[in-house]
Amino acid sequence: MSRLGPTAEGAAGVSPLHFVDPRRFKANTRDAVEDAHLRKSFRSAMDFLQERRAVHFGDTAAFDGLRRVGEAIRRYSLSRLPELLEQLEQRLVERGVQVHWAATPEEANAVFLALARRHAAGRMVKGKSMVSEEIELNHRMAEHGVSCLESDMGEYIVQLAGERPSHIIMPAIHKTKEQIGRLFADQIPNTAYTDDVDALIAIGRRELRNEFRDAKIGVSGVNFMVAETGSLVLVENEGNGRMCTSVPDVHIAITGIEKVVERFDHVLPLFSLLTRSATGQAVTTYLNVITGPRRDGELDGPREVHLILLDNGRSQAWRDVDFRPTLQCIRCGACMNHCPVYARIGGLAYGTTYPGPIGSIISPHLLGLEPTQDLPTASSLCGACAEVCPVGIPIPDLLMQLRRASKHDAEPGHAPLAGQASAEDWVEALAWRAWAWLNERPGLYRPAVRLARLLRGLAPPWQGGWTAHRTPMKLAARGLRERIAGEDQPKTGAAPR
Amino acid sequence: MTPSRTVTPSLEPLPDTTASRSRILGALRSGTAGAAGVALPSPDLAAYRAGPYGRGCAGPRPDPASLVPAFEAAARGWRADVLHAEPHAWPQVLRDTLIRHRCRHVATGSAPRLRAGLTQALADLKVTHFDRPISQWKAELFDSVDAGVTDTWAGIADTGTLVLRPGPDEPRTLSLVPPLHVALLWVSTLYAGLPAAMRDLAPEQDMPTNLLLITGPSKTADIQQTLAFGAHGPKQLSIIVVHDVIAGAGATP
Repeated sequence: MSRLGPTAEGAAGVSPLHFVDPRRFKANTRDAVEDAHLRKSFRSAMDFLQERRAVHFGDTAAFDGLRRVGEAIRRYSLSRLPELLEQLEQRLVERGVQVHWAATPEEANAVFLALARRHAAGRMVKGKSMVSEEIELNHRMAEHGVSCLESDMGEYIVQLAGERPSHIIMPAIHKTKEQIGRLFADQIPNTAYTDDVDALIAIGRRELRNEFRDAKIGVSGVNFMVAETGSLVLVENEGNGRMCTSVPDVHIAITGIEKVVERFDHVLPLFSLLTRSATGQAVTTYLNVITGPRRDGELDGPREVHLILLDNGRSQAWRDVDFRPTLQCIRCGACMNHCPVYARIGGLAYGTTYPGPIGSIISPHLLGLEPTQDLPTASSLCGACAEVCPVGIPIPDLLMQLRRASKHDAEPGHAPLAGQASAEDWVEALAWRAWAWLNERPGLYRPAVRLARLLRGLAPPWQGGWTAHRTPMKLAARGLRERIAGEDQPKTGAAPR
Repeated sequence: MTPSRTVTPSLEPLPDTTASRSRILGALRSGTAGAAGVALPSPDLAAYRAGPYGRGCAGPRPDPASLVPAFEAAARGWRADVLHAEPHAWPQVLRDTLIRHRCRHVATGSAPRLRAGLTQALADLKVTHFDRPISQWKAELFDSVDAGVTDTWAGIADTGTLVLRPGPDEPRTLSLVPPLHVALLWVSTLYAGLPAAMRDLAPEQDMPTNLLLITGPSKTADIQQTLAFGAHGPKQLSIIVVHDVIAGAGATP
């Protein structure tokens, strides 16, 4: 039922992932909420990102217009996903790109390892890729003596600290410049402490430059794939993505099967939505469109380009039209930046590759509902995520569907999800069934309520999480029905029923 | 450091992923019953092109010379330097720029329209022509070149963006590896917005190996959301705007 860890059903030979474990979500949340430092840094970062975005999308009508186009493109692309993937593969092969398909993280890692061995590469230099985090590439390769070096500044910092990204766009958002200064001084030889941001970036630049120059293999993610032209599109500010895809002789790109669009002009509105939603920029420094390896006569660029297309549960979300909108996501992170839960607990508490609202709706497909059953409950359903989503994903609806799926069997006409009904609790189910039974029988309901009211003094003073911050719940001395009957009748003369 | 010139062949077999391919496509196709299998109509981009993000798509192409101030303001906003030159004078402006930045070693491509001017601009500077595969001079490019000079395909006024189409004449690392990137932008190639530029240039008709949009120097805000320039790519971007058309003369694309 679960795709995760040692409890995975029949997962013989599949070792547990190192970091990803959302089963500690509740404990992590408690720790995070009590960490004043973490809360302060996330609050200020989220305020900053919200303000930056608002500058660009202050005109709600213009945003809605652009969003409708972006949503239509994503919905259209997904509606034709199998054909577009085949068309993409055909064009890529014509352009000389080698395409590999991976149903699971293990299959994707096997391709990486074989390529590293084929090219006798002890090290791969990596651009930012959340999908590579999803398959835990760095740890898997390290087990086989191949090191992966993160080159995105935020990812580099997080890797040096032995941590995970806490935000999909700004991975080191949970760290202060002082912490990074100490980290650099401790971990990088001949580096003195500084908390000057320009100096810290210069240190990162210096350390990584030789790596770009000497690496045999560069790894990257992909923001969009264009089926008609066989192009891989990368969006970035730093230039490390361009380094990884331009300088080494071999470029390995990895991405999820859902990232394909049909035409190049479909990328343009999505690019406009992505950069504005993610960091409040009208445009990033680089949009890098890669179509095949170095051609005859060209003097640089990789000689081999590989694309690994990862499923890892995405086809499950795709098959059910109710869950398919999950895959419209362009990974901008706006839902996190506006989520009152994410802003308080930060990204690490979720224990998943993708944190925040998008993580809560995608992770159950990637990992199964059993280990992720608490994630969809970590929402007040306030709807901020859906309001800012640049591609119109109805995140609160999907959270509700997942809550239902974690407690109940699949409804007719729907295939069960991995881990369907894994959070089903017979005590809870019985209590609700009794409640429903009683409510359908007024003759029993009234005396039962009367009896309960007589016993109201017995309500326990300690009621779990409720009484941690509130007074205990107690039945009222008079029920609503009696109060209406007593108070309304003299005034209106016509009490309902 | 002398990386191998060609990819070393090895006997290490790559996993055959055709079974996974069938599994994934099969899983998708098995779920196409009913509504799940219905392809939606192709999205209508008309609203996008007509809206504020599609500036320059509707009506005739705006006079490119009229777009120069907007381009300059946007490019400066992204911390690019913007310089202006008459068509005959760009080599001098380029030379002044390189000297001002104390560049001693400059790398260039072999774009035909720049060749004569570059000879004039770079006299008595150390110049490396990018006319060999990168593997033969990677160390020099990374460790000793101060500036890379490139041509551009077009410019986008709304965002101060350069469109580059690297190729045999101008390899892609020329605009990436040296700390200073100097780009020549021709006023006649200015467009109002991104979709208008892409509709006219139509790169998808003959997609190059690498197509680039570049806006300002490389940057990052990964440390406490503080913006810093020169993350991995050029620390500085100088754009020399060559006024090859004058205002009111109309577009000559």
